[in-house]
Amino acid sequence: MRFKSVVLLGLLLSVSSAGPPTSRVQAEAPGLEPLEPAVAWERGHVVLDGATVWTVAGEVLSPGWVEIDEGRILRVGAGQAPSVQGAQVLDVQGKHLTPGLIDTHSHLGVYPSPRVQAHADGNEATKPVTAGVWAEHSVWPQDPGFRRAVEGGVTALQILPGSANLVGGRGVVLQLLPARGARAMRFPGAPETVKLACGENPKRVYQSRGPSTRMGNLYGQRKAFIEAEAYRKKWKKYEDKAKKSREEREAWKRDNARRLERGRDPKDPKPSGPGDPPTRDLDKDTLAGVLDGTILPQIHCYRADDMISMLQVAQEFDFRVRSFHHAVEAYKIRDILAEHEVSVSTWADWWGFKLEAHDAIMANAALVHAAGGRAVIHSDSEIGIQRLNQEAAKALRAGRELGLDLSESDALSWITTNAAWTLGIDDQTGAIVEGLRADLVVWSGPPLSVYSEPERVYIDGVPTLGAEVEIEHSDFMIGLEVVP
Amino acid sequence: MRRLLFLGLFTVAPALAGPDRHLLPPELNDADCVAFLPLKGEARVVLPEGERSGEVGVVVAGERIIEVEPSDELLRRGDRVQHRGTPCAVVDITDQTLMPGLVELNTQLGLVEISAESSTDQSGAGRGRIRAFLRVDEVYDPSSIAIPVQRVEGITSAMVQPKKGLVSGRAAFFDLAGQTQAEARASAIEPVVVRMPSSNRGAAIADLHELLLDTALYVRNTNAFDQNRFRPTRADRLDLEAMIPVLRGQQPLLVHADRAADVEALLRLQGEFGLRMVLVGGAEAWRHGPALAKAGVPVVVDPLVYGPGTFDQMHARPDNAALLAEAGVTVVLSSGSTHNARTLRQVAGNAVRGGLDREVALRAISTYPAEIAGSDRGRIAPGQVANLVVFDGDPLEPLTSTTFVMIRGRPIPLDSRPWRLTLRYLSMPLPAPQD
Repeated sequence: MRFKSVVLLGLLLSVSSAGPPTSRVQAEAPGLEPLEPAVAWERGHVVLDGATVWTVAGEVLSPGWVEIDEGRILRVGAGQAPSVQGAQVLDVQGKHLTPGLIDTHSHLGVYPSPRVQAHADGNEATKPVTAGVWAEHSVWPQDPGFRRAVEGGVTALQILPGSANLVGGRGVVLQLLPARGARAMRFPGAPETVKLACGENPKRVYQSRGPSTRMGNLYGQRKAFIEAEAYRKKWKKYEDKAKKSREEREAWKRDNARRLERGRDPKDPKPSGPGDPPTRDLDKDTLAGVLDGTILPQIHCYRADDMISMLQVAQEFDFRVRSFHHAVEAYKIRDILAEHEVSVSTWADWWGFKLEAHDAIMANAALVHAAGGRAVIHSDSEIGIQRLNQEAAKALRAGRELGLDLSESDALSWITTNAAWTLGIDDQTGAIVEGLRADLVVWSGPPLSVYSEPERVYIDGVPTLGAEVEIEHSDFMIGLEVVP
Repeated sequence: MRRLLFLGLFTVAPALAGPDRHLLPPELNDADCVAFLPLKGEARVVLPEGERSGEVGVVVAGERIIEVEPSDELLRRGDRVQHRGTPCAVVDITDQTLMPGLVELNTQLGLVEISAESSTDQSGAGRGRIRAFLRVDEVYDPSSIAIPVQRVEGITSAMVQPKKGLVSGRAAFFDLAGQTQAEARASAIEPVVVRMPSSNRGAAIADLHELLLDTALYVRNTNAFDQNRFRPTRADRLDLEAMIPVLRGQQPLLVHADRAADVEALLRLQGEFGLRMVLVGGAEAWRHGPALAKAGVPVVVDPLVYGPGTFDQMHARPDNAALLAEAGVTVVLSSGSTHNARTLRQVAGNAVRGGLDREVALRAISTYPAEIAGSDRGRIAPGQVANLVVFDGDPLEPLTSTTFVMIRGRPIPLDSRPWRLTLRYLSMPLPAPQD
């Protein structure tokens, strides 16, 4: 059902693409029906009854129940579930139910497991601005890490290019249902994202040909946005012209129809067309999308002053930064970040691996949260993504040690609702709320305990873990047991 | 009433939440003797025979634990819990967990300050494949800012290992306190560290074999070597000298390897020379559990290795530690980390999640690694060096806080550079918190 409108849109666009393009519509626009046919997953009508339900929407229902059908959360309630005709009732007493976890920063698929040269597809480190490359085109859907992530309760994640480049290219938001191609894994309706990087990485990678300094970084980024602005203007001009010419032609057509009706000769000449469209430039397409506000910038940035510099670039070119990633010094500028509504995707405790990670503190996320900002715990790791719940727990503990009044639901928001907002999918997932997608995790115990494990995972209503028939994500791990 | 009287002495509650968390009461600083007692109920104490819930008390005098008694007994003595006539300061551990300080066996603490800055990295000797000559003891920096970051989370000792080459050098074991290298040193052990490469393993095994044979020859013909009447060797004199205690079984060989096939080859080498070997990593070690148990080779496991991260870890499993323990292998749990050695208890929690017995997991981050390091730490028993940690809950849970740390009988403030930064930015002008 949910594909119907998407299919229609696809048809419309494919029809219109027969003529010359009249706008910067991507030949591979996201949201188009993937070439790969959608898998007809069984999306059952299920009532999960008796668990402690962490809605991460303000309530903890203990016990509570959740009814899902055709991939959506139908109803959520406290106490005992009413009897629902035709639904499968699952007794999950003593278990804990949370929204599916969301990782805003992953390189699964682009730096898959095991690490090998052949699969190092995460950094197009050939020039400092590669805004036009798409992480989607590097994602290896057979990465065993996807399954490991589901085993950790993750249902959606953002795959980003690496941080070698000032502008690394487009990220892609995936839903963790297996598919043969990455396009079919895209989270339906998720906005486009782009990765930018500050600080040490780009200047280290391009040391010899530049940028080789932080000022070089900023120069490169501003230059790229200036070019994107000009490009956007050129297209805007062309689009206006095309619109005007379309209107003229339609008026001419109407006029002539009327003339014909009245027995008069058609009027000549036919108004001229808009001419040739500007040449498409994939790099500039992406950055123009940032200026349009349709592509969400996700910026790798550690130091407080680097983040301020990037906010100034955003101000100069009138766009909004969606999230700073790693952002280990966010606590130093948490007032500014809250004011600018930038989310902070960070770790619980990573530090010390480079100088710009020297001032990391464990209470970073907690302090950002307490200042009214949006904190997110991300993994940036194929190991960390397997236990985001524990990472959020550590970050919560650090806040509490400082005396901050923070709840376990607050900590869960760092890996669910705030992460969903960061990716622009908070109207679709991230909380246990009626109408959202049925992305759910049934935990064996309290979700912030080290001993708790996901026993069942529903992704878009599909029982992806703990079902009678287990879904295998990766071909790669198949057959290992054959020898010896 | 008697208890109230008792409370009147130097009684200290473990750290509370808030900006004063790191402050140690002065009476503790000066105390020659500290008693850990559950004054208002029960505590949990991790004893060698297992975690004991109830009324247990521990008395420390000077560097060492002098008494482990039912706390009833200690409380009956009231203010006479004293040492050489001085009353002991009392740390109230009601509803807390007291356990031996945690021990990380695989870290570069004190060798690496900022990983990406080579000028701050002393983990390698900078030349050659064989660097047995390198002594961590001579480069370890006891004032590294990474050290307090670990100990405020309960890590009290660490085996600091050199990192590069096939034979990386000699590790050393330190308490995470002390002003000087000599002061920090916590045992005489200096294991030689070997790292199996990911390619050309055949050459690696052959080189190790030759190194051991050359060492044997060198021992018998040292004079010939000194007089230049020795066949050419790949290793230098200093390397050969360093290998002598390993060859004699006086010092262990710490071998990093993940692949089952490597484990097998290394066990052969161990058998041939009768080496004291400890396997580090061992992602696929579960496949040789019985052989490792039979050879008495302990395995230092990072239970979070589940990817597979490399082709050497194709058969890694989350229950690796559990399977090894079941096969009778002494399992040590490790973060393998320098800046985040503090994650050790989370690491152990995950091993339990993977099936390892919880009591074994607790010993695998304290007792067993301390034993392998040849030190009188890691157990709460009279005579042991008093490296102790108090947690406000299950030590393996990420929501649990460390509330008190003691190293060699000295209370350690819960202070570190990141904590100072936290305090510095705690009171900056900010908009009022929401909610």
